[in-house]
Order: sequence, then structure tokens, then C-alpha cells
Amino acid sequence: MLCLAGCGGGSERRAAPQPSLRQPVAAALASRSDEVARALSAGDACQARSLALQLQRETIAAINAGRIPSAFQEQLGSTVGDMVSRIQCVQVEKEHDRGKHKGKHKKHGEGD
Amino acid sequence: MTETLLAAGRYRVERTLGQGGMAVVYLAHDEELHRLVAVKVLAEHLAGDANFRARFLQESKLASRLSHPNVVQVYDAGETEGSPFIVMEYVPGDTLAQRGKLTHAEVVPLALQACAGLQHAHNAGLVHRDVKPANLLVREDDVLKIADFGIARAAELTRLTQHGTVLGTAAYLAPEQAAGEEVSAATDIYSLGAVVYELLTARPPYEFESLAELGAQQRGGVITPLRNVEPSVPEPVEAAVMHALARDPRFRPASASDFAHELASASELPTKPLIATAVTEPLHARGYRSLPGSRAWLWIVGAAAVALVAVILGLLSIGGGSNSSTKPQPLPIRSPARGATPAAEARNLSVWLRAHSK
Repeated sequence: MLCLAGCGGGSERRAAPQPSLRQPVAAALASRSDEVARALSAGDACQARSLALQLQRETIAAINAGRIPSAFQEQLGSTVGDMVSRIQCVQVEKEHDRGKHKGKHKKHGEGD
Repeated sequence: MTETLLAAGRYRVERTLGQGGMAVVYLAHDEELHRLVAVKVLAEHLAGDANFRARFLQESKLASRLSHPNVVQVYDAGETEGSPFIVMEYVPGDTLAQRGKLTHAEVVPLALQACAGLQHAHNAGLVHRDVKPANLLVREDDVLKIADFGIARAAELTRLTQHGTVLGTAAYLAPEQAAGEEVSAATDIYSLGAVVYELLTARPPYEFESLAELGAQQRGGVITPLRNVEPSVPEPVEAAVMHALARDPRFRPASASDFAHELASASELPTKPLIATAVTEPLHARGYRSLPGSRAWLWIVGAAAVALVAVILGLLSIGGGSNSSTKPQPLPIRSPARGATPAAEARNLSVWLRAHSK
């Protein structure tokens, strides 16, 4: 049954065309990724994380809008997700607050 | 099903994966594309109903339009020996029905993935209608995939006559669905909310022994607040889940994305940084993997992909097989190289994106 639908009768075998990303979509995501790299190179991890999260949102939006062929979705999504998880933004103020908090706990005898 | 070959020999059945009232699911090998697939064959007593058979295939074809990392991909559909079958992506792992009670730290990332898959389907105009733990498959790397899109719609009329089947799924039915009223995306959101409630508490929102009792409870009963059953659940998570379980669809989150947004915003999970991204769009499955060693599967998948490519190339170069009608398939796309640092990874991704664009 499937053969009836799929058989063309010819014996020529050609390589299937590789799927590709649309240039505007790929360029936009690549530019954002470049921005992440630049921010990291400049030592601004918080800006880099913000940009990476933006890249992730744009990636998800592109996937859900059908602008990323399925052959690329897993690789792209996992790479962006991994990148976001690797970029840590350590905020000094929060660390400071946490220190104060710990001190309070010590007063109540809860220790570290 | 006595034959071990389906669709003129294209699919070679290896073993039975599961059997329900509606269908039998087999693990099979796609002899053309050299990959494992799951083949769902409609049960004989249903296959005899021509209307149902046609609807089953029609809905399956609609579902095949969906392409999303959190939705089980439908590859093919047809009939064999008078029984309709659907060929789907094989998802090694288990279902949420097999997971039992989970912590909110475990449940929220899974629920977010389910939201992403549902949102994709809703955007395409499809409502699942049967979101339940057994239809939420969790792959070995914790990627969740929603199964059986379209099946529920085809089964709707039939399963109403199958009491046991209905009771098995009724706990997750939205009130409007149980009442036989019009369903919408909000129906799936309720069902997912019910699944999340049960995963967190080990009991469904309503406990009942008959459909009539369920109906009465849904009309006039009150769902026990989540934290009354499981106090460890953070209040915002409880609020998000109870929002999804609103009796009136108008009072539920407006979309699966909105539900995801509420869940993500409510969660404070330090080991899952992506959850804090305040999801305004459905999240991608892989995004939640941040634990050390979580890339190991990528290497395994990559190695398997390379091996598969080698096998395919070998067969092509040898001219293996006489079936020249096999449709040529593109080679799998390799992931961007993982950089030693995040900056290197970002640059690699940029290069990869440009290299694959045209």
C-alpha cells in the first residue's frame, strides 16, 4: 500500500536535499548568539545571561511559529538551553543579603 | 495480529509495548528508514466500525501536522489487514502514570514541557481532549512528549460506551468535557492541571466511584486545596494549579503558555535556572536540563546518529537492497560543537546557524 503511493518506478537514487534554516531566522539568532559571546568576553555575565535568555525566548518562538525545521529543533533548543544554564549571573547585592540572613539564623542558634 | 510485518513489509514488529481497550502498540523497526518506531494498531472490535476507522485515520493525519519536541511525532498512518494503524516516534522511557508522587521541583519542569507541547497544538487548532499521565511520555533524558493527539477525538463516541476506559481517564476530564459540552484549549489546561495536582498529591482533584458522582462533584464540589494535601508545595505553585482547575473555562489561564508562565514564575528552583525565565512562550524541552552530566546523552545520541549515518551511507554505496523506491532521506543534523566555555559555545552556535542557513 505504501509502496503504491511511493513507488515512482525509477531506479535513480539521489541524495535528499539537506534541510536548512531560513537565512533571516538563522541570521537573527546568530547575531543574538554573537552578542552573548561578546558580553561574556567583556566579563559581563549578567548581561550575557539576559541576552541568552532572550535568545532562548526567540528560539522557542521561532520553533513554535514553525520557522525552525524539525531536523534542527532538538539541536538548537538543547544548545541554547545548555548555554543559558552555563551562564551564571552572580548578583553582589543578593549575596550580601544572603550573608545577613545567615547571620540572623545564627543568632537563633540554627547554625550554617 | 498474527503477522509481524505491516504495510507491505515496511514495519517489522519486534514486540508489544502496550495494550489498551482501543489499540495495541507495538515496537517495530522501520525497514526503509532503519529506525525504531511505535505502531499503534486499532483493536479489532473497533476496526470493524467503518466510520470509526475513517475518523481514526483522519484524526491521525491531522495530528501528523504537529512537529514539536514535546509532542510525539506521527510519521505515517494506514491500514493493514483491515485494521488502521499509526506509526509514531518511539519514545524510550516511561509515562507519568508510572512515576507516582513527585516533588514540585520534579513536576514543574515536566508540566512546563507539557504546556509547550499543548500550546503548539493549540496554535495549530488541535485540542488533545485526553491529557492524562498515561499520555505523557517521559524519555530517559527527562524530555516529556505528549502522545495520542487526535486519538481522543476519534474515540470520543466509542469510549463513552466503555465504562472502564472512561473511569480510567475521567479524573482528568474538565467539567465541560464530562458534561458533553464544547471543548477548547482550556479543556486541555484543566486536564494538565489535574495531572499536576495528582502528581503532587498522589490523588486526583476529585475522588469518585462513578461518573455520576464525578459529575456531581464537578458541578457543586470543592477541590481540596493542594497544600492541604501536600503542604510542601509552595503557595504560588498551588495558586497556578488551582487556577488551571477552575470550574469555568473562562477563569482558567488563557492559554497553555499562560499556565506555563504562572508555574514558572511560581517556582523557585535554583538548580533549574531556565524555569526562572518567566515563560512567555512555550518552553523547549531541553531547556530544563542543567544538571552536571546532562550532556552525556547528547554524545550518546550523537554517536548513535553517526552510526546510523554510516549504516545508511554503507547501504547506499553498496547499493544494498533492491528496493529502489525508497525515498532518499536527508542526513541527520549534527549539534553545534560544545565550547569549553559558554562564550565558545555561543560562538559555535552562531557559526552553526549561519552554516545551515540559505
